[in-house]
Amino acid sequence: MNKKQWLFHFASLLPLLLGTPAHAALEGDLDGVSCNSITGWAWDNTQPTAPIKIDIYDVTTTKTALLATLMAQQFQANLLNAGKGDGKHGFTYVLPARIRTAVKHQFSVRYHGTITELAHSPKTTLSACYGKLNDTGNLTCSDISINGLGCPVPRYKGQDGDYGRDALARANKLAKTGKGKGGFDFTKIANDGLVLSANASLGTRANDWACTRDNVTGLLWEVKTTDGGLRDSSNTYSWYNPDDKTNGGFAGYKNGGICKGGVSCNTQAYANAANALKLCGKSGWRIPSKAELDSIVDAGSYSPAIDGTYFPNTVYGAYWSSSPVAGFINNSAWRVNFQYGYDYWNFKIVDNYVRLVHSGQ
Amino acid sequence: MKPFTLPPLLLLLAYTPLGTAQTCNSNITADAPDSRYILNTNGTTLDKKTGLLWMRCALGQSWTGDTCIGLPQSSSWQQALQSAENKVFAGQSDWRLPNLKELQSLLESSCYSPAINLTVFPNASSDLYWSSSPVAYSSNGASTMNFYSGFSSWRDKYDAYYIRLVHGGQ
Repeated sequence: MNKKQWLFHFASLLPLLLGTPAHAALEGDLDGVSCNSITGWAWDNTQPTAPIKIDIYDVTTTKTALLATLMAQQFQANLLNAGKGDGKHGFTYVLPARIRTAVKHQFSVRYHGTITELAHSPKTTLSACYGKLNDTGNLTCSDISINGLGCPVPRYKGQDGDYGRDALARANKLAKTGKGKGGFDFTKIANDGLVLSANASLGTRANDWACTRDNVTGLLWEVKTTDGGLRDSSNTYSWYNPDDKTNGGFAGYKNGGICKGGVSCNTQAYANAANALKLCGKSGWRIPSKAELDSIVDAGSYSPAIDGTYFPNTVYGAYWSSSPVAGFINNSAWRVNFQYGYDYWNFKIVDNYVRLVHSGQ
Repeated sequence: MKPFTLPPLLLLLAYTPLGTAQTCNSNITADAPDSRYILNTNGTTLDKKTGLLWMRCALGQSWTGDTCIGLPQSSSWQQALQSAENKVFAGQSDWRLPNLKELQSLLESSCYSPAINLTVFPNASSDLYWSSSPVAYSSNGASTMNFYSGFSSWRDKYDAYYIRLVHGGQ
């Protein structure tokens, strides 16, 4: 143990050494750990209607890294029935994409600011955690000229609708963290970053809906507004990225779009503005890569080709990705059309729409 | 005006068996580097990013133990589905045609001609490949991906394109 690690451990032990009440009032359980989510509950039985915070750590042989601090405040009927206050003490943490790197994970969940573990913590995933692809949204099957057929279609077996998350959802066999069409699994997130129920409405108050979390990929997405402001769905931007390591060799244009909100109408300025706002409680918002933008396409529908319940105010037009075109055509970048769901390229001067993404908690 | 220089062009052509040359852009971060894949000598590869197992050769090509030789087969959409259904390879019989998002996950966006990792998928063609995904807005079409540049589009199901099979996932 080096000096820094020792100091860290000593600091962690301080509350105990100083005789803080030894968490007699705290009670909680780490119910489940998978490559999708970490679930459990925690409460302080001296304050049965007040939620408490928990810390989630990713434990490896070399370090214990804090992944997130969450308020355990989800309602769970079984907690209410078991006499755990008002039952609003559950938590669900969706694994961010960045830690899904083909390794098993051990997760430790502790009462916030302490080293005291919840019951049954730590827990290890059964298998290595890979990144997850969304399914396409095709819930039906096709033959040579007819769409919307039941699956399977004789002599056309093994097509999209026959397998994957969409097929499981159709058979009512898909477990989800949130809701969404077919195999999609989305959760509404508020302006202040907290998890909302599926019936929450868009708005500007702290607890109004502003972002949608994709529980399959672990990505957090901006939801566009119709308030005529910075995040209005009709705003357009030219592609701009001055970083030579990622811009394909051409930065693009600083003010080629038409937008409101007092920013230069380019992709980078818009992402910077969302970060200054701390949209949904976060900085680190960015323009999505082509692959990320492709991930939320619903190929089973069009006009729009996206789950409109979780992505309202989607314009029938093209949204910029951060991915430059490698060079078969110069000075261009990839964009995805959400009327039909296809990716294509545009010159960086073109004014396209933008939906920001965040790598997750 | 800069004089046109022939030698570098000839050099590129000399190194590519099919007369095409992959070009990569050093101002873009590679998103499908070798480190993303586990290469199996049985002709399959595990993508550590998605957990999908892929055939390293397109259907029609032969796996020699370290590369793919021969010309890929091109098929209609129905033939592509049936070829997948009947394929037994590397001890697996449940190979399938990838859906559009699975096919798109093969993209190496920093390169073109082709836009795929050629160490993992040797002698991969820069042409169109079928996905298993029908197109919602055109009942005659299914989705393809163009591996010259990396974009997706729908094509008539009677048209003939290449096939790369996948296993696992969900």
